[in-house]
Amino acid sequence: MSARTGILTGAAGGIGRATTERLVKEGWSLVLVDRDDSIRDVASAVQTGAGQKVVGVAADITDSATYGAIDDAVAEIGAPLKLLALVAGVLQEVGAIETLEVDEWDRVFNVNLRANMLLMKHFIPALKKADGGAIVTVSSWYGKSGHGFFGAYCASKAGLISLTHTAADELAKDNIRVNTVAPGNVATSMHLDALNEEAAKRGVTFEEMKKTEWDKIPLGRAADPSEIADAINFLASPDSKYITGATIDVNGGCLFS
Amino acid sequence: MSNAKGGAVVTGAARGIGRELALGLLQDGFGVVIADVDPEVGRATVEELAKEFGENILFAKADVTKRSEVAEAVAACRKAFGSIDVMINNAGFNKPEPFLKASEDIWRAIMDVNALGVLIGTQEAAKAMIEDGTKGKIINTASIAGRSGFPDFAPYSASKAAVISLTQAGARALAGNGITVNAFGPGVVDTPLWEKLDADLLEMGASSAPGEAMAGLADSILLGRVAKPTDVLGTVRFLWSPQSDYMTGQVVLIDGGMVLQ
Repeated sequence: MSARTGILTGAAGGIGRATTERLVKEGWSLVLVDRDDSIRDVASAVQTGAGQKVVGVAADITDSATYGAIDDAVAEIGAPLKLLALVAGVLQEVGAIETLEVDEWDRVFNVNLRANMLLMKHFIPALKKADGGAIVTVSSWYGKSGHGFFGAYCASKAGLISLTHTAADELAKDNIRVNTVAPGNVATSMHLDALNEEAAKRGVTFEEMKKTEWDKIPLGRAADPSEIADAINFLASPDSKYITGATIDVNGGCLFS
Repeated sequence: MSNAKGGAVVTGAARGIGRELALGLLQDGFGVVIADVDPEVGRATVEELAKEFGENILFAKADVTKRSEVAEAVAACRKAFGSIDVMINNAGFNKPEPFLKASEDIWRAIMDVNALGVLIGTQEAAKAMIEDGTKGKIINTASIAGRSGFPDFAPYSASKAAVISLTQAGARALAGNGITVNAFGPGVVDTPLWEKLDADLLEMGASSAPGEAMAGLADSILLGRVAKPTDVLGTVRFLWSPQSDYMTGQVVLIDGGMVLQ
């Protein structure tokens, strides 16, 4: 396949790293975006094939003024931009609506929803210029159902699913497909930290909390990050060329919808 | 005899989407049983595919509403290829009638093939997988009609909603055995089923020219065209591959953007 560039946000995280590995294997050149400068080291450690480039860019995705560095990296790679893989997301401080700080609500919505709108807005012209491509968002099964103590997170992910549908509707004529992967529990540090935090909140041990959560999953385990990366890769590939506005639920059976 | 990749049974594979999926499985190295109620077209399909894939493909005459025939197709797969690793419950049909005239006979016939056939196929494949210790993949052909009822094919819509429920029930029942059950939901696909539907709708007076009903539906598709069977293959291939090992009980719509969910 000819040279093509993708932008991947949240690239330093568990799903981001697995997605990098998967997409590079498929021949993509990538701009890896994350908050911390260390993303440059993450990028330079990636093994690439002939003609492939992986560039790391530290940017605050909630601030579109920082996107210039991403544009520069796309230009440096030189191949057309055919993919936006919007993986970056944050969990919220676990807590009831009654005690939820508005600042915390805003922080979660800024990253999980508003930043994805800003990124789409900024990079859609380049995707159009490349005669089409794919946008893949990473939502959550928590965006398809509400859960106590996760009011901001659930609502932000529900909003992201809706934004995905809207973008699919607007961009189909430009041959840009827009879909979302909705993971269940994924064995990343983000998930394990959340289990720890919720365990503390409920006054139980980490192992008890993990058992409570994982026993709810028909397949009996959290996903490996590579299993989410596989679904992102599927939605970026020609195998899904007739799919747009869809949700791929990779949740071990914890939610049927 | 056994096959390196294992065996697969595809019901309703004499033509249309089923045939395309059988071809994809063969290309991926599986041994494939084409299980179809129509021996004439089924055997012709096998003969055609055998030119390239030789003994990796065989035919089993199976009416999916008859448990013994489905069990025989599964047995033929294990005998020829060593195991049944993939079961695609794909057989289905549609017969449009205006909602107020939808009849008991058509309802029963459609529910028997499209819904009961999926239950029987899932049961017979799963029993064999459990006996062999195979962590198999069961894939059911649902439809956008299972998500959104269409007035001129109420029984079909209900039968495909049943396929989705059976997918979920099967996923819960079989997760403990390491067997996943998922479904895919095509939108409007250019297959013999849709050609017949287009002709039936014309005859019914729901459209006024050949191709009009299909084109009318295509107008509501974001990607602006109806699907070809090959558009469906990529997704189902994802569902039978290890890449979807963490998915069970799910429905993936391949509709070019009709039902956004």
